[in-house]
This record gives sequence, C-alpha cells and structure tokens, in this order.
Amino acid sequence: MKKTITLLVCALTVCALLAGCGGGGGGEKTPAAENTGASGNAAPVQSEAGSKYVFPFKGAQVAVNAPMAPLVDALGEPGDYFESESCAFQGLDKVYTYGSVVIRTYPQDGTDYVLSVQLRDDTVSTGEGVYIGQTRDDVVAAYGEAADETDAALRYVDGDCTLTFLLTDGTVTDITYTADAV
Amino acid sequence: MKKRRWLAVLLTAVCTVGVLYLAQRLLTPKYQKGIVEGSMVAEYYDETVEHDVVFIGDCEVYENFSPITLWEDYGISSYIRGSAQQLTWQSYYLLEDTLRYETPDVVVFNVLALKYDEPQSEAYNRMTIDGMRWSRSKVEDILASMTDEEHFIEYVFPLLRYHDRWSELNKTDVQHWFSKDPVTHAGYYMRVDVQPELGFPDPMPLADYTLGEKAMGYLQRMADLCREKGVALILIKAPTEYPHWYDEWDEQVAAFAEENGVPYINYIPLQDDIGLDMATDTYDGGLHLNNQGAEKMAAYFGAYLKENYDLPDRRGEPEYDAVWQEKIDAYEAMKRQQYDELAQYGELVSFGANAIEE
Repeated sequence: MKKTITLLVCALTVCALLAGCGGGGGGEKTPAAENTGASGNAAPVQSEAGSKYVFPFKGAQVAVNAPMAPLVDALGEPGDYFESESCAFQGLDKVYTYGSVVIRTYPQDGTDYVLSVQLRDDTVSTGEGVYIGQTRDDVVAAYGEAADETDAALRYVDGDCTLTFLLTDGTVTDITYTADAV
Repeated sequence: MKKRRWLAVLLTAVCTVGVLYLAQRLLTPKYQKGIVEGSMVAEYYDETVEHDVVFIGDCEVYENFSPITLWEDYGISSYIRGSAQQLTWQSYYLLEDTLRYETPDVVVFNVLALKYDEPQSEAYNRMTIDGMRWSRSKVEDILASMTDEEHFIEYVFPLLRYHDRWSELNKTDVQHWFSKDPVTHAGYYMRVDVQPELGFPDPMPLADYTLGEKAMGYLQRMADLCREKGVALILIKAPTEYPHWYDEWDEQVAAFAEENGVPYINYIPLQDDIGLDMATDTYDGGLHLNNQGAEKMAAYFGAYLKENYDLPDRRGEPEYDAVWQEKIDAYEAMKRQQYDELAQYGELVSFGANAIEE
C-alpha cells in the first residue's frame, strides 16, 4: 500500500510540475495571453542586426521594428492618426501620417513597433538621397543592383528591412521601408 | 504480491492520465468572455438541424450576416462557420469538415483571406483549429497552418502549449472547466453598439498584387470539392472597406469565378443598395457591421439566394421551427441585454473588449 501511495504521489508531483512550470519555450506567452499584446499579423521580432536602410526624418532615424513611442516623442504628434482593432482583440494596428510620410505599426507584448515607413511625395528622400519622381537608373546608381526587380518595382533587402521602390514607366512613384516577415 | 504491484502501476497510470486530462481542460483557454472567437468553430457540432446555406470565412462573415434574419425573412436554415482571421486553407478544411456532417445546397466563402498566403499567427490558428473535431481534415489543417514556432504535438496535447497558463487562471476557467455556453447565434457574433466610420488611411501601393499560389490553390480545391459534392459555391467580398480590398485582387477573383463558373459578388460598391449607413451600421468605425447592419446585409443577401437558388422555406417544419425559435429567443435576449447595457453604461460591459478578463 505504501508503494502505491508513493507511486501516486510521484505521478501527481510530475503532473503538478508539468502544469506549473513556467518555462514553456523561454517564457513565451500563450495565445490567450497574447490577446493583450500580440499582433494578429505575423509580427516580426525586434531584430538585433537591424538594417542599414534607415529613413532620416526630422532629425530622427526611423527604422523598421523600432519602438514607435520614442519616435512620436521625436517627431511630435502626427497630422493624422488612425487605429484599428484586430479581430478578436489581438492588438491595435496604428497608422501615423506626418505629411508626406506614413508610418504603420504593429503591437507586440504591449509595445508598438514600426511595421513600415512610406514616402508619398518628393518632399522627402531616403537616407541615400532617392525621392519620388527619380528614375530607375537613379535608384540603381544610389543602391546598386536590386535583390529583386520587375518593371514595376525594385526591392533591396538588408537585415530586417526591405526597401521597395515602385515604378511607373521607369519613374519612382512610391518608396516603402517594410519590416520583413510581414 | 505481483498482482498487487500491477494493480498499483495500473492505478497510478489511470490517476496520472486523469490528472493530466483535468489539468488540460482547466488550462486550455475557454474563450467565453471578451474574446469569444475561439469558441466559434466547436459550437457547430451542437447543431441539431441541417443547414441549406453554410458560410465559411473570417470576421467578414461572422460579424456581417445574421442567420436569424435569413430564417425570419426567408425560412433559410443557415450557419456561419467563421473564425478570426480564418485563412483560406482553414476555410477549405472547415468545408471538408462540414461536409462530413451535412451537404448544404449553398456554401458562401468571403474572399478577403486570399490576401494571406502564409501562416500568420498562432493565436488565430488556435482559435480556428482547436475547436475542430479530430479528423484527417484537422490534421491537414494543422500542418498547413502552423507558424515556424508551433509544434504539431501541442495541438494533439494542448496541455503542452498551455501548461504555463496556471498563473493566468480566472473564474471563467473554473466555471467552464467542463462545459461551455454558446457565444454565437448560428455562428453569428452580435454587437449592437455604434461607432461611425470616419474614413480610412490611403491604401499602401503594393509591389505585387498577385494573390498567392497557396491561397488560390485552396480556393480551387474549395470550388472542386463543392462541384464534386453538388454544392453551389458563392464567392463574396463583404461590404466593409477596411482592410483595403484592391481592384487588382478583385479582378483576379472575378477571373477565377468566371473560369470556375461560380458567382462572385463584391458588396463594397453595393452599400447603398443594401441600405447600409456606415454612420450607424458599424460598431468599430467601419471594420465590421453591427447587428443593425448585419440584419440589413442578411435581408439583402437572402433575397439574392431566394432569387437564384432553389432553397426550401423551412418555416412550418416542426423540427426546424422549434430549433430556430430557440435561436431567436437567445438572439433577442442577447440583443436586449446589449441595448440595456448601452442605456445603462453608455457602452457594452459584458461583451467585447470591456469583458476581457486579465
């Protein structure tokens, strides 16, 4: 009988440990817990490597996957702001419009990170000096051969950022920095 | 002596399995308050009458169409097999799953999910897949849906995924340890509150508008399966305008529909015909319709169904009348509760974000 009790106690201890241990893959949150923070979209994680593609704007360096709050402090209140709740309350997707620049964010663990930076007219230019209205050759001269190119787009990838130049008849019509895996 | 030892081992094994089972039931998220979307898929299995029309898809079906209106206005028995951010392959496997239980006359699929060609989020995967009964469809759904961080074994034994929820357990986990309350009305998620649409950001231009191969491949499988089973497939784009539905996507879906001989209706340009007023018919700024909007949408869509398909009017059939009357009672009761909360608190407190338990 003692053996039976000992076995039972051992089994229950194993169960309790399994149910109670907090590891679970490095303290990852359960999907339910992510309800308060994780993005409904495939949220990229903060990259350690970052990227050489960074957009200089109003004295700040805007990088994808960077926290948004310090940027808002640096850039000031946006001219226009939009937010939408993901289905099943998986977090808010936010869009900050600063005139010619649109910054979209994704939420992760309660913090908003830069998902994309879109340049919409020729009053702003990339860190390498390319702006809307320039030609395909201008882009190649500044950035070299693209990782991926079509008639409609040139794509450059570095670290966690993809820099895309959209083209119409060989002229740049849109420039976007996007966090990878989104 | 030997016999007693075996008995002890057997007893221990049974107790261990029992405790693990109880722990799994307790620790698995219940999706009963606030975030209820994870309960939707499983609720279908409690249905007792067949459905002539089944909707499959994401929030653009389960928030935008009221099956109660389809019943009350047209006698159409329908069900929405929806879930949050339901991906196209998940819709396909839910269709397969549905066809194991019944063969509806019409299946309606909302095309917004075609924009996704890769697994997106574990949270959404879980909400769609965990509620499915085990079958080959579920296994294939898991394999098609898992993100890089997920493991198949955790779907088989959810305790392996949720074991660290012990510190998050709340009253609802205990209350619904062994049973769940219905959270939808034939798959429809009700919200009666109003938050007017005030406009959306300009859509971001894309480098490539081609809908993904995987998503379109599963859409093809859906069309093939419906054809094989004699089910009419209807492709729709719900009337809500955000996330943006690009013209280029619309053209690809229209071309697919034509090639496959199935109708495709984009309801965005038909908002006025439907009678939608996005100042009053949405609860979240235009992303989804509220109950008033969903009833208008169902009334409009029901007329299309009756005009184009030979669907029976089930009103007057005792079995259907009894089941649908029960659904109507629950629907009206929830509607009253939500309007009462709005009157009393100015917002919903038992539904939506305010009901989420921390």
